[in-house]
Amino acid sequence: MRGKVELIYMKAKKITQSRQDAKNPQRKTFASRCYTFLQTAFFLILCLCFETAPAQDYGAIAGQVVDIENNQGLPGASISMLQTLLGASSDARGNFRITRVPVGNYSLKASFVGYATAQSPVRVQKDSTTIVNFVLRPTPITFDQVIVTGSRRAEDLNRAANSVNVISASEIRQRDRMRIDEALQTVPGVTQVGENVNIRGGQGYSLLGLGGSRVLMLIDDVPVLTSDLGRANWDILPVSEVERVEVLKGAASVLYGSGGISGIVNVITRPATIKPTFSFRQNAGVYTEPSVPEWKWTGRTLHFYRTDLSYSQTLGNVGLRLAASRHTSTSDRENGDFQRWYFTGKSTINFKDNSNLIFSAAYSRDARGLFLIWENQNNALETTLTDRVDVDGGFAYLIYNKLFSPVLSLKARASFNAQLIGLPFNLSNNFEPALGWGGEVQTNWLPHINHNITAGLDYKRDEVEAKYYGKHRGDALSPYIQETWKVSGIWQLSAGLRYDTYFLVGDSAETQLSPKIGVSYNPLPNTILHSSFGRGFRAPSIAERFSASDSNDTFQLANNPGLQPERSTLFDIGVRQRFGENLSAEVTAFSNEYTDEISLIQTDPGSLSFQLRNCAKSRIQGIESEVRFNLWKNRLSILANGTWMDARSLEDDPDCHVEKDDPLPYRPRFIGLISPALRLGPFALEGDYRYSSRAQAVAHFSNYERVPMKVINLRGRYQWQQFSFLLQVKNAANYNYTIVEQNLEEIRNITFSISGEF
Amino acid sequence: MFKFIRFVPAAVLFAILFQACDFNHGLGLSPSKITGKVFHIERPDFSDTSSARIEVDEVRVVAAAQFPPTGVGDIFFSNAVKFDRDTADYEIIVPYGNYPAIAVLWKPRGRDWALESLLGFYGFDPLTFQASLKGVELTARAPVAANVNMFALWGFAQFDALVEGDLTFLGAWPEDTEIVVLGGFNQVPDLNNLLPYLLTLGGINFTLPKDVADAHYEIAVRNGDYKFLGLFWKGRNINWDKIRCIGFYPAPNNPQQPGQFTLPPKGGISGINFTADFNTLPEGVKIGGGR
Repeated sequence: MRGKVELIYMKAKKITQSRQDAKNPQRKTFASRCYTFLQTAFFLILCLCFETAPAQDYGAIAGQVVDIENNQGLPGASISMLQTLLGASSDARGNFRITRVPVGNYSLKASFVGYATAQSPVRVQKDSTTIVNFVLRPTPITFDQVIVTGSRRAEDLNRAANSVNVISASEIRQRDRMRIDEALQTVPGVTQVGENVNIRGGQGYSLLGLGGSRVLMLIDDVPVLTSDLGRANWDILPVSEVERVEVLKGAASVLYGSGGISGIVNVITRPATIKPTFSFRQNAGVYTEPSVPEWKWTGRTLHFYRTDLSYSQTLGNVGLRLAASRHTSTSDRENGDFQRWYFTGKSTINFKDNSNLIFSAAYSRDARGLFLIWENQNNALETTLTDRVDVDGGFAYLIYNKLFSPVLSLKARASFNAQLIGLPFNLSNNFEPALGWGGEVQTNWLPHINHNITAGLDYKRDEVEAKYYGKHRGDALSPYIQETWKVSGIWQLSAGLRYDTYFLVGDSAETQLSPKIGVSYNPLPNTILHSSFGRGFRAPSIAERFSASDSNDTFQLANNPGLQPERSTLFDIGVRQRFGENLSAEVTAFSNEYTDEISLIQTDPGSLSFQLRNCAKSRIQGIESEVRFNLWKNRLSILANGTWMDARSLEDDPDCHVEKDDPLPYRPRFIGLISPALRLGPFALEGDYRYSSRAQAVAHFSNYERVPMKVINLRGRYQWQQFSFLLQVKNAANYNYTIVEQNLEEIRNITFSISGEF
Repeated sequence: MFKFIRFVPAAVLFAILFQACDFNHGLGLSPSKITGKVFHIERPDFSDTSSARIEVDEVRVVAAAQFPPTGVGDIFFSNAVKFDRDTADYEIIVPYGNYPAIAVLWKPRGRDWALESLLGFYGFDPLTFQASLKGVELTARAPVAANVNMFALWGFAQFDALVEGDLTFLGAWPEDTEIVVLGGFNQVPDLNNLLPYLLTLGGINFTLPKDVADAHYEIAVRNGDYKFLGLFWKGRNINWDKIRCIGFYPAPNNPQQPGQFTLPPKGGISGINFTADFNTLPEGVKIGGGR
C-alpha cells in the first residue's frame, strides 16, 4: 500500500513540476513553493497513515507515583520512556499506564513539579504488564521538571536552551490566584502593565486599550490571542483548571509564530481523573479602608467572592472534565465592579492503537465597568466615567495524537476562538464577534537516539467586523522545523526555522523567516549552562491597522493600514546551578532588540488625536537572577529573584516623539521578589514582598508623581484531610502606587478561602 | 496539637509587630493645587430654549503645563464649575510644576472639549481690557496657588455657526513661532491695539498647524455680521497683547480691504480663503532659513 502511494506521489510531482517549469522556467513564486510543500506534506502524511510497522511484540507498563512522606499518589506526574516518544501522566491516585510498548529494555523516568525525579530500568515482555512504582521525594529545588513549551514536545527543563519557568497548580493554589496572569507574579523578569503581561520589558502600554500582546498565550499549545485586538484574554479559563503554566522567555517565534515576540505563556490544563472527583474552591474577601481617608468614596463594604466547581472522571476510555466558576467584585473603586462567569469542558478519548482525541472548550463572560483614569489624585478611587463593557470570549480545540511507533508521532489540531465586545449576542451593535480558526499538523520523529526532529505546518484565519475597524480577514500559513541533537551526554544543540506568511485579504503578504539556535551544556550533574538566539515576529492585528473613531468620539483615532510587523532579535545566556539539596541559583543575561514597535502616538497637540505607528528601534538588556533555598529540614524555604533592565530607544524618531537613548515607557529598571514560607505540619505561614522601581518614563501623563511598587502579601494556610483553609492579606501595608498613570493599583484586601477535592 | 500551640503565638506576635510598624504608604493626597473664583459675565438665560442657543454641558477651568499643549498629559481639569450663578469656586489638583496658561472652557452638550471653547483666561480682565497670559508655579515650598481668579465671558459661548476655508502661507515660518491664531471680529479692529476689540471677537481657532505651506481651517463662531477675519502670529518671547496680524480675508473686489460676511443662526460659509505672509513681520522676527 505504501509503495502504491509513493508511486502516485512521484508521478504527480513530475507532472506538476513540468507544468510549472513550462510556465516559469526561471522563477518559482512563493505560492508555488507553498503548493509544493503542501503536496509533499500531504503525501508524507498519507504514507504514514498507511504505513504498517513491521510485526512486533508488545507489552505494557503500569504503576504508581507516590509521595515518600505520606504515600499519597501524585496526580499529573509525568512518566517518560527515555529515548522514545512514549509516556503517560498519572491520574488523581498517581496511577499510570503505558500501552503498546514494544518488547525490550528501557529506562523509565518519573517527574513531578516540586519533587526530585526518579529513574528506573524496566524490561517489557510480550503480552504482559510490567509494574514499576516510583516514590518521589519533595524538594522545591529541581531542574528535572518536564516541560513542553521549549520544543513543542516533552523535554527536561535542564536540557532546555531557552529560559523557562514553571508555575505548578500547587503554587497557584497556595497563593489563591484569581486569574492566570496573577500566577505569573513570582516569575523573574515578568511584570504586568494594565492588562498586559510583560516579559523582560518587551511589552508597553496603550492608553486606549489598543496594541496587541507581545506575549503569546497558549492553552495546551494552542494559540488563543483574540483575532481582532491580538490580545490575551487572561479570564478565558478559571485557574482551578490549570495544571501548570510554562513561561518561555526569549526566542520562541520559530515554533509558535506571530505573537511570541518577547515570550510565551503556555497554560497546560488539568487532565481527567480516573475516579470520579469533585473539587471546589470558595473564597470571599473585603477591601479595607484606603490608607488615605479622603479616598473613601462610599459607605458600602466593598467585597468580592469567587466560586470554582469542577467534576472529572474516566468512563472506559473516555476521560471527562467539567468546570464552572463565578467571580464577582464591587471593586475598590468607583465603576470598577465586575461579574465574571466561566464554563469549561475537556474530554479525552484514548484508543487502543496508541492514539487519542482531545476536545476542549471554554466560554467566559465578563461584565464590568470601565475605570480608565482617576478623577484626580485627591479622588484617586473615583472616576467621571460611567461606561460599561461586556466581553464574551470562548475557544475550542480538537487534537488528535497518534503514536505510530516509539520514535514517530503525529499531532493534528483544529481550533477556534471568538471574542465579542459590547452587548452580548447583539450583532446589530458596534461589534461582531472576532473569530479565529486554526489548524496544525505536527510530527515528532526520533531518527536516532540522539536526534529529535519536530516539524509542522500551522494555519490561522482571523475574521473581524466592527464599526471601528470595518470588516477584514487575514490568513497566516507557517511551516516550521526544529532539530534537537544530543551531541553527548552533556551537550545538546537545537536549531530551528519557521517561515511565517500573513495575508491580509485585499492587501499584500508579510513574511518573516525566524531562525533559532540553542545550546545547553551540562558539565556537572548540578550545573547547566544554556544560551539561545532567535528572531521573533508579530503581525499587526486587524484592530491596530484599521481602528478609527468617528467625529463624535472624544478620542480621535486615525487608522494606519500600512503598519509594518514588529520584529525582534533575542539573545540570552545563563547558568543554573544547584548546591546540594537545599540551594539553587540561576542567572541569565539577555539582550533583546525590537524594530518597528507599534505605539500609540498623539498626533495633534491640543486635541485628543492619536494614531498607532511603527516606532524607532529599541533595545532591552538586563540580568535576571533567582535563588531558592531551604532550611530546617525543608520547613523554611525562601525564594528570591531580581531582574535589572535597561530599556531605551536606539535612534531618533520625530514621528513618534522619541529621541535616541530615551528610556522606553513603563519599563522599570529593577523588579524583585522575596517569598519566605514556613511550614509546620498542616500549617503554613507565607509572604511575598514584590518590588519594582518606578518607571523611568510614561507615555502621556508624565507630570504625576510616580513611586516604586512595594507590595507585601501575607498568607496563612491550614490543611485538614482533603480540605484546605487559607487566610490572605494582599497589599498588607496598604501601599499606594500606580503602574499606569492616574490608575491606583488595588488597595489592601483580606480573603478567606476554602478548597477541597473528593 | 503541640504544633498548633507553637504556631499560634508566633502568628499573633507577627501580626502585632506588623500592625505596629509605621509604613510608608506611597502616594497620598496631592499637596499642590490651583484655586480661585470664576466671575461669569453676560451670563445667558439658560432657560432660553431658542434654536440659536447651544446647550452648555459643563464649565471647567483648565491648567496647561505647556502652552500650547503638546499632549494630553499637559492638560489638567478642575471640578465642574457652577454656571448658574455670578461667581463660582474652582479647584484644580495638579502636580508640582509650572502652568503658563489657565483658562475657563465650556463644553457644548454632545460635543467634546476644545481649546476654542474659551470663555476667559488668567490674566485677562475685560473690565480694563488688560490681557496678558499669566501662569503659576507650584513648588514644595509653595504648593498652592490661591486666588487665581478669572472672568468667563459668555458672549464667546454662542458658537453656533461655522466658517471654513484655505490658508496659504508665504515666506519662511519664523523659528520662534509659538502659535498662529485665527480670529473673527464683528468690527474691524485696530491691529496695533487689539485688546479693546476682544469683546467683538466672534470666534477663535488655536489649533492651526505650524511649518506648513497651506492648511484647511474650520472656525466655530457666533452667528451675526463679520467685518474682519484675520490670522495672527505670536512668537515665544512676545506677549499676547503684541501679537501681529499676518493676513486677513480680503474683500472680493478690493484686496486691500477686509472682506465681510454674515452668518445666520446655525449657518455656515465656506471658501473664505486668504494668504498669510510672514514677510510682513518686522525684521529681526524671522530667524533661520527658508523651507
